[in-house]
Amino acid sequence: MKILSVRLQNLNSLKGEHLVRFDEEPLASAGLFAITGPTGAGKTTLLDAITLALYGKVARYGNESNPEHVMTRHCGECSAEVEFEVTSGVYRAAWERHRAGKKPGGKLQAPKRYIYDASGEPLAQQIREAEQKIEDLLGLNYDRFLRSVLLAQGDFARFLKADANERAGLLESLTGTTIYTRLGKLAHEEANRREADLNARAAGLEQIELLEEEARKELSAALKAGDAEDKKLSAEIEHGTEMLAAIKQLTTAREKEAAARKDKAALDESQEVAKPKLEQLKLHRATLPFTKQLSDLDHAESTAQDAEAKLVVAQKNHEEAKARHDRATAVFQVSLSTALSKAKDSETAAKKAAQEAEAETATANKWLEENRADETLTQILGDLVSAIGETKNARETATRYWTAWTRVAHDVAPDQATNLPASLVGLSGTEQGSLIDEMISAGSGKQSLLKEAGQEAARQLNLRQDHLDKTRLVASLDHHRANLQPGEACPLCGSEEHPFADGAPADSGIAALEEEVTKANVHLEKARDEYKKLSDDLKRLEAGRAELIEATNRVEASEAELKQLLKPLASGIPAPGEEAALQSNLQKRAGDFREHEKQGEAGAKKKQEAETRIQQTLEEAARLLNKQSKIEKLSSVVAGNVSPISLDKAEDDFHDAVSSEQLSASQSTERKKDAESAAAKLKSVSEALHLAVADSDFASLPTLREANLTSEVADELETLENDLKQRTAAAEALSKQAAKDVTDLLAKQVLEGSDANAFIEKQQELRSGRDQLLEAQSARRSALATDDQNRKRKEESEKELAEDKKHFAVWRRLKELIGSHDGAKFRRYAQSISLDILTRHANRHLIKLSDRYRICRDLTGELNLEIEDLHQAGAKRPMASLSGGESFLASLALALGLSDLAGRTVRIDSLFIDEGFGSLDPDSLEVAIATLESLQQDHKTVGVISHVDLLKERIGTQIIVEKQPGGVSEIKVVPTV
Amino acid sequence: MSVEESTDDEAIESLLDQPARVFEHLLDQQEQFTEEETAELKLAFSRLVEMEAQPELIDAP
Repeated sequence: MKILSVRLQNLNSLKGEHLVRFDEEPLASAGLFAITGPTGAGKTTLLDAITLALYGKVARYGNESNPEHVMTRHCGECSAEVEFEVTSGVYRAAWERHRAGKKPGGKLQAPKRYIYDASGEPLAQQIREAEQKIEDLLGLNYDRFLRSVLLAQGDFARFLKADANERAGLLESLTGTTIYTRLGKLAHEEANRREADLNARAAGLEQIELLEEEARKELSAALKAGDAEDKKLSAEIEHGTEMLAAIKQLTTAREKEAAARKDKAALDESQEVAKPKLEQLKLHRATLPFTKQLSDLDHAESTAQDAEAKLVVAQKNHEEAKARHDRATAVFQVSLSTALSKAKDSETAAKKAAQEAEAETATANKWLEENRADETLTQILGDLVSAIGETKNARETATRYWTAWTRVAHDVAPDQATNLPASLVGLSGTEQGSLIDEMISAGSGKQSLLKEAGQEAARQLNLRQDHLDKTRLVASLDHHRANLQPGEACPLCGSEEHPFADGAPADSGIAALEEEVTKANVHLEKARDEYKKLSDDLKRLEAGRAELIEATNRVEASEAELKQLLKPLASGIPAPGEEAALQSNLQKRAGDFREHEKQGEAGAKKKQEAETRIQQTLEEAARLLNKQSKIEKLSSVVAGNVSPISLDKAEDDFHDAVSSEQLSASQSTERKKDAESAAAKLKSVSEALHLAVADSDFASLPTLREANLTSEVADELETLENDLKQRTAAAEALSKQAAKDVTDLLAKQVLEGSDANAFIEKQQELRSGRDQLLEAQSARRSALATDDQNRKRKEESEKELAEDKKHFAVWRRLKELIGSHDGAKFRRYAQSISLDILTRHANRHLIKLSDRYRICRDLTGELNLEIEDLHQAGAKRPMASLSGGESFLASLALALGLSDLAGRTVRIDSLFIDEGFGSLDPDSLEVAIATLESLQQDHKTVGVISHVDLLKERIGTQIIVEKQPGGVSEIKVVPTV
Repeated sequence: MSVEESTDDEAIESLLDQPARVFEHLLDQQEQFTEEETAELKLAFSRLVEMEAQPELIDAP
């Protein structure tokens, strides 16, 4: 476990937020560092922050959880947070507490604790949850943490002075051997459990009750007597049971005998009622020889009636078909006449349309002949429009160039320019060239004059500038003139005369000269500008010469092409500005020609269509006349008051009606033949039957028919007859059997009436008595069986108990060896081994601290320690006899040994030692510091809190806690002081 | 018992990881038991270790 950082806020004198990172420089590479500062500055508060964040406790407040007084005065909140690393990863533990509203005067609120993993995911957010989680992560509870990581002031000695149990607990936690406590406790509990089990079973055996021998004998005798009594009763009941069955049989036989008599009377009555029906059945049986003839007669009558009915229907259908035929014929004739009339009208209209179309065609053709020349126009219209456009563009371009050129020419030579024509068009190339050259020549002459004027202006400027310079020079020699002496040479010119020695004229003329120079300068600039402008204009005139000639050439070329195209149309080229009018006129002429061509073509097409319609109507009329002729041949019906319909439908209806009438006529004839055949058959059958009846017992055919029943009625009567016969036979048999049974039972002296009742009552008493006897016998048998089982069970249990008691002796010995209610006995034994290992680890450190002492275990006590003084011939004495300095060295060695030992399960890489160094002399202190520094090799970081000056000087890297005004402190981390 | 006399530190430290060996160590110091009793005690202790590892065995006979 390694502490990586501590962050705290408003704890004791450390007001505000403070962060100390042990995993960053300078602390990261310093194996040993000091935490220094004056008393009360807050050095120990750093350690308080660590225990608060991890366990919610502060060492100096004892075991109080979440102490109230750690918050800095006049603050509303405080917190502590530790980042630490264990083998499973890096985690962050936080503790925080605040007052209501986080105001200094607010009521103190419950603290909060959190544990987060490296990604910031919370692992615990409740206090109990955090308590368990931190112990799981660190492998140390609060007390163990204090003794192995945060060695608070005086705790070294406290470990040395801890009692055996406390020391055993610490060792067990550090070595991860809590199993010994659990085994010791389990040995105690298991032995107790087994002893309790044995005692319970022994008590259970005592609870098993067995019968006395005398009681068992009495029970056996009673059981035997009961069995004899039961045998006697059973025989009597068995005999009585047979008699009871016979009595029941006799009663039943008597009841059957009475029932048979009753059935016989009822049967006689039924036969009397059925007598007429049976007579009816007898007559029916006499008609059976005539059954087939009667059936044939019925069939013939039915067939004749059916054929007659069908004939009537067929005749009616035929009449209706004839009527439909007549109507369809009339409608067809009317429709044909209407269609013929329409065909004639259509023919007339088509002829008229043909004539009109012919007239339209003739008019159009006449116009086309008169304007045949425009046919060419329609073919070249596109070229003409293009040529007119090109001519128009060329003219405009030439005009635009000429206008621009003449504008420049007016600037260059206004007099000559007034004679220029409005346009170059119409002039020959030579004329154009001469005209342009004259203008350029005039401009060149003017350019020469301007050049000379400019040169003169420059000369005038130079003269005036020179005069001005000299005048200024004279004026600048005033102070030299003042020094001239009569008769002495001038130091500048050597003249001994000094005409101006008394002073220069008052007005030297410099101002007037300067004005003249300015005017000359302006004049020169103006001359230069005019010359430059004229030179530029001349260049433009010369440059425009070629453009102008080219433009006029293009005009001539386009006009020649246009003229060639217009020649067949007897039209001349348009004057400038009339190009659009000509184009419009030509487009209209071409449009008119095309329109008349279309009219001629449309007229011819209409005429063709009209002639086709005429031919079609003629053919249609011929077809209709043909149909009309056929109908008149087929039917003589005269069309009545009917309306025409669609000719096709009328024709279809007509043919359907003809077919229907023919079909119905055929069917009517067939039905008439069928009716005549059926009537003949009926007559034949009837005559034969009448002859047969005359030879029978029946007076007439109707009498015979009346006696002849339907099969359903005949079957019903036969069923009735059979039923009566069967019931009669059954009743006679039943009556006979009942009488026989009564006779037989009476012959056996079976009891009847009151004698029988008395016998039955006696039997019931016998049965009741036997039931009581059996119940008593069952109780006796159960009591004896239970006693047998109890005797057997007790015997077996006693054997098992004795065996288990032997086994329990082993567990009792085990309990005596290692068992205790809290597991302390076996723990102490196991941890005595741990203590031996601890003293070895401690002595490795103690050797570096002192060559005089060794720690060893007092073999008279399980976990007691004593000190061996090598300077006193290895004399051993109690730890309590050590001086303060000696005690510190021994304690430090043990503490470091504890850390080593804890490393078996919990690696401890951070140690904080709070004070305790004040008891060391300088040499011992030096040794202690060297020892602590050497721990860096094991990757341990040791923080030492001390006032000792030598310690502060010897340990370079320090966390300095400085007091500030107002009772608060600041933290500084420095690499060296 | 004193482990100081031992020369094998690692073996001694690993002793704590084996409760049966620690118990045998304890038995070695007990002179009052016969061999049969010692064997019975070892058997009972191994049963105890099983029960500690499997609490469901605790109520078994």
